[in-house]
Amino acid sequence: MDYLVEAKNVTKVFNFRQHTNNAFRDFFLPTNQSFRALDDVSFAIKKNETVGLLGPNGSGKTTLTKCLCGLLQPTEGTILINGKPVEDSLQDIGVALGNSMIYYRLTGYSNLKYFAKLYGVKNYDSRIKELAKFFGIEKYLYNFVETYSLGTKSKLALARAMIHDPEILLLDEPTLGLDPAMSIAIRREIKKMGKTVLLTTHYMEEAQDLCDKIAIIKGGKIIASDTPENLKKIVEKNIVLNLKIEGNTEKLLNELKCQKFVNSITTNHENFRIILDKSAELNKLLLLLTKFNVKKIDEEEPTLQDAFLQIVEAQNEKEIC
Amino acid sequence: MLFCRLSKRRTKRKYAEVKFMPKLKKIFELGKKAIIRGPIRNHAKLAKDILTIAEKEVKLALRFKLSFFLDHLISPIIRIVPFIMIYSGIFLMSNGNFNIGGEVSNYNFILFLLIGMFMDTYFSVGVTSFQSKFINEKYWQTIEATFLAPINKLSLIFGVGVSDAISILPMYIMFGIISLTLMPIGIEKILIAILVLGLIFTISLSLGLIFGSISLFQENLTPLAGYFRMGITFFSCFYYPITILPVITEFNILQSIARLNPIFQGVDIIRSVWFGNGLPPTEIVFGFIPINPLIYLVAVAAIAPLIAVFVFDKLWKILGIQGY
Repeated sequence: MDYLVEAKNVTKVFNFRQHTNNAFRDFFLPTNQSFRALDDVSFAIKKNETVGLLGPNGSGKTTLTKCLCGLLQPTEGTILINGKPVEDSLQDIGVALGNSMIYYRLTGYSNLKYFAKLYGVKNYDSRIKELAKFFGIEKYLYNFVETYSLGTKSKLALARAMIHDPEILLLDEPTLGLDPAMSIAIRREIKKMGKTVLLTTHYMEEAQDLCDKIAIIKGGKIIASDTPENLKKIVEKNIVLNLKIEGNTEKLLNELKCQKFVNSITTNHENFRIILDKSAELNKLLLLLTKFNVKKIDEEEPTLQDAFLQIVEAQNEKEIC
Repeated sequence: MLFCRLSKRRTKRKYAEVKFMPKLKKIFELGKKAIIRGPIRNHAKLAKDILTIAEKEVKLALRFKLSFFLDHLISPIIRIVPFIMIYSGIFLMSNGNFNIGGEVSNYNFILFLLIGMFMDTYFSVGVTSFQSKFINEKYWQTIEATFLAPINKLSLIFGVGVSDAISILPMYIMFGIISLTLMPIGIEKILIAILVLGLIFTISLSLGLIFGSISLFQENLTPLAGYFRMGITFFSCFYYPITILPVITEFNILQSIARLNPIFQGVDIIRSVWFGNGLPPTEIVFGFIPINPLIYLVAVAAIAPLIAVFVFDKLWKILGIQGY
């Protein structure tokens, strides 16, 4: 079988009550609304492939992850894991949703032991110690989880997801709250394991490091799906400039926003990051900048993040049209 | 005229065939999938899962030891004390001549209340345990983590049941010794009482899973489960004999409802075993059908967990967890 994870035309609609700041009206005249969190999503992951799921907040990443592991039932469409329905493949899936899904009132060891036994891990004691050693949480293993730091909780949540050595890992922001060294170590380990991974993340470097393929999701739809290299080609001809301005930065921002040749702008106080469509447009920008007090100007290679921003912005424009 | 009637009948039959039967088949299939496939396929796994869940629940309960002690040892005593005072007052004022009804007399009312308290404790613990656990686990997101593992949901009922049974064991032993000192009974009677307690506990846990599901999937409806529990408690006659329920209509509606209540039947069996000749009552009459109360209790205890798991599974699939 080619694909280990397959989602076919998956749609998920949530029905909920719209809340306003008028509690009286909410109670007596409730307004029911439905929200399409996933809209006809189809995608597949090959065996031993790592796929990154990127998207803005509220785009449907976690909903998709929850549908794939069977925590949510799709309103329409089918999901197959190893060619079988999700409920028959639970042993093959390991899920980590941030740093949740652990009992705060139990020790780390008790948590891992509980889940190891539920998954039928035979030598659970050695497996727990092996994972604790890898994640560097050995000395906290017999402490209550409520005393753990955010990073230690994340490590424990990851250890819980991997306790039964699953074939497929669904990781929703697995390195949230971890220090850079640990993040790198975890990335290295995920890569080394050679498992089939769906990785939801906001860290572009993580996606670039780990993923064979990246799917960008927005408004419940997959708007782009390709290898990181191919996605980067979208912005290959673009020029990325870092500027440092002194003086009226707001005026510059407004003027830049009016220019058609400016693809995207990100600002942080007096620092600007500008992406231009083509090198030919550089002259126009330099002409514009003569009116301002430019302290520093650097050019850099377009990154995956630039490609992501461009794809998302293009989709935004399409939606507005 | 005849043609018209025949045509109506045909339409009804057709409706039943087209609309009703596929739905019934679908419900049957879902039930089979949710209930039968798991436990029958792997008994050993089911047993292991039950013990694993029980171990975890006991550890969670012992996290706050004082609260655990107060909840499981002091609360039942507080529940029984007012009734002991009321009954003592009544019997003292009437010099022991007052007839409350049933088997209660001034010689055995403490034991009568103790048996009621046992049952009430088991019933309340069973019915409420899932609600509080589910609400906690809903916000910790651990309930999701548990169901991501390949477990059958029946193990949840019995796992929580075993842990609760262990939790109330000290109270059970203490009051068991007091009860046996007040009126000693033979080992066969003790075994019947334990069996009936187990059956009542299974029914209570199943009701608890349904109420817990309601809290898990629609927290708004949590109080409704509380009202339902109060109704069942009223009709279970834990602290008073059934004859005290007033005769409102010629059908004696309140007492008839109580007799339909399997929890009351369990209480009644234990009391008649303890105070009577050692055998459960031979039969109870529902309408015109005489049924042995023990068989009735066993049947309800066998069906209740399956229905509870079916309801839980269905709600899980349709609604998902709501409220956070």
